[in-house]
Amino acid sequence: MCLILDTNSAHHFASPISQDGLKVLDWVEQKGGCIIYGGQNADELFNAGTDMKRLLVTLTRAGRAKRMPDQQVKLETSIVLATGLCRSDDPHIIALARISNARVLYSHDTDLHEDFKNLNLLPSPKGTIYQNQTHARLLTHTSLCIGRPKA
Amino acid sequence: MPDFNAEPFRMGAFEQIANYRGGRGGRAEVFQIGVRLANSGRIFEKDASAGNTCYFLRTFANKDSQPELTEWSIESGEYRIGRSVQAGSNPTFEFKTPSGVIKLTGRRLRKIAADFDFGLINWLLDLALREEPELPIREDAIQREIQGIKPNEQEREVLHLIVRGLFGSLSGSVYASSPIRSQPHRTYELFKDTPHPEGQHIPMILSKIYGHQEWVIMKDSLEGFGRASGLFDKVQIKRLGHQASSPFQILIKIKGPPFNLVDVGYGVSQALPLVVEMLQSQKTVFLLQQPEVHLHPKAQAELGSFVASLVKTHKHRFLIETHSDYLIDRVRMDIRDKKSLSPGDVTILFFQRVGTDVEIHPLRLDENGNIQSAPIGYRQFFLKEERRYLRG
Repeated sequence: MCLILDTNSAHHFASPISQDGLKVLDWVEQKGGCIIYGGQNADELFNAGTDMKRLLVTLTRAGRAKRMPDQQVKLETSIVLATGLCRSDDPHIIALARISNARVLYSHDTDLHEDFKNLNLLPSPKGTIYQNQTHARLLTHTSLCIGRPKA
Repeated sequence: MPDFNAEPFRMGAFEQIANYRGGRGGRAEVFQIGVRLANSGRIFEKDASAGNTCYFLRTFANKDSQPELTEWSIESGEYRIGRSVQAGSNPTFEFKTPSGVIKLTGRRLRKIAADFDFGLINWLLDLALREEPELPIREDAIQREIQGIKPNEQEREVLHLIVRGLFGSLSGSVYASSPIRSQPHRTYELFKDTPHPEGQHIPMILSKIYGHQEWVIMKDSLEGFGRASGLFDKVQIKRLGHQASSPFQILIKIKGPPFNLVDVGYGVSQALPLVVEMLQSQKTVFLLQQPEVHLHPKAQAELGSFVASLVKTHKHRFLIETHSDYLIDRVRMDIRDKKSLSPGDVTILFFQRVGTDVEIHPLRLDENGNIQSAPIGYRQFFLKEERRYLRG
């Protein structure tokens, strides 16, 4: 599946990159993985340091990261908020997942984990959480992913 | 018949053009050049079996170290039009539809042009599709063979539409630029204004039209590009005499007084020929080799927007060989921001070396300007550099 990076995972991609971050990079470079970003999430990642920003630019140019339209994320965020089901303060992450079909999240925020796995907020396939390299098996695509590589 | 050594492309003899795979027998006996085109909706509406993509393929063999066209074909779904030649025999033209195949052959066809030609194909199509069982007397040197059922009215129309669509897409006069433009001069004299790949003709064009209606038409676009790119604000011609044929200088105004073209940044003299050519030329197809050379990033990016806008305003078509991320990024952003192009207007061709071959991957963009379906290996160098950087 395509992967969404929560801002609290951004430091894993600052030089020197962590082993957990490196696993994500392996997946992206060697197995056609794809990062999805956009809206408030894009702003937060770009402000999370020059290494993160640089990485996103490199991956986007390589077709390994895709940016969702800010307006669409914003609109979907308001829809997510209106459900009243969000426990975390990151409805924009749920919105991003809903519009892109990305179902893997790299995050250390437990409230957001709950939201991301809540099928009432994020319909099937159920969201999964990547927290460290032992979760590398989660880094896969499904037929819904917009960032699947060419066969 | 294409000229493989027309300026600025000097591709050499057959052996240089065809891929050598190495080892004994590695020399290619033929090579092919193909074009893939999107069919118009009308073709698909008439007959879905025609598909939505048309392939035009030409095959060249080695004749005295020069490429000689031996076959060509147009294929679109279940439809095919093609010319082939067996050694020592007359050429055969084939017209295939879902109903059957019509073949034309005969000594008369040997005399006619080998290459795809709109008039020729229409004439042959007319002969192939004639209702009469026998061809007219004056065509008695042509034999017709029908396999299956003759095409129905709808299929005939599809054949005509495919040919017309292909011709429409391939027609248009071409301007091909060199990767490096000619050196600027302090003073020019009026000589030739015939198009040259290095843009030597552009100063003469500028001098000829300066102050005339053509200049008024072009000025806003030219100087608009200059300001947006940060290369120049104004372009002026200073005549060193009273005659139209007097020597002249090209002056560039950025901020403050105008400077001679040779006294401003080299990028101006490199961009000016391309921009002027694109704005004033009667040509409609532009083959640009590394138009970004000597331009700073801002100008490279603006060139992307400029080219994209000309696709809409002038109906120009471009094939651009570039290493510029700034140019491509700008085109992607303009698509995302719906400034000029639609995603379907752009294809990025990624050339990937695989062993001794080169594979070409056409990459499309989505409505957000994201690159779709990039193969593993696309921009691998940059990804590896990034990994090395991040490892610290």
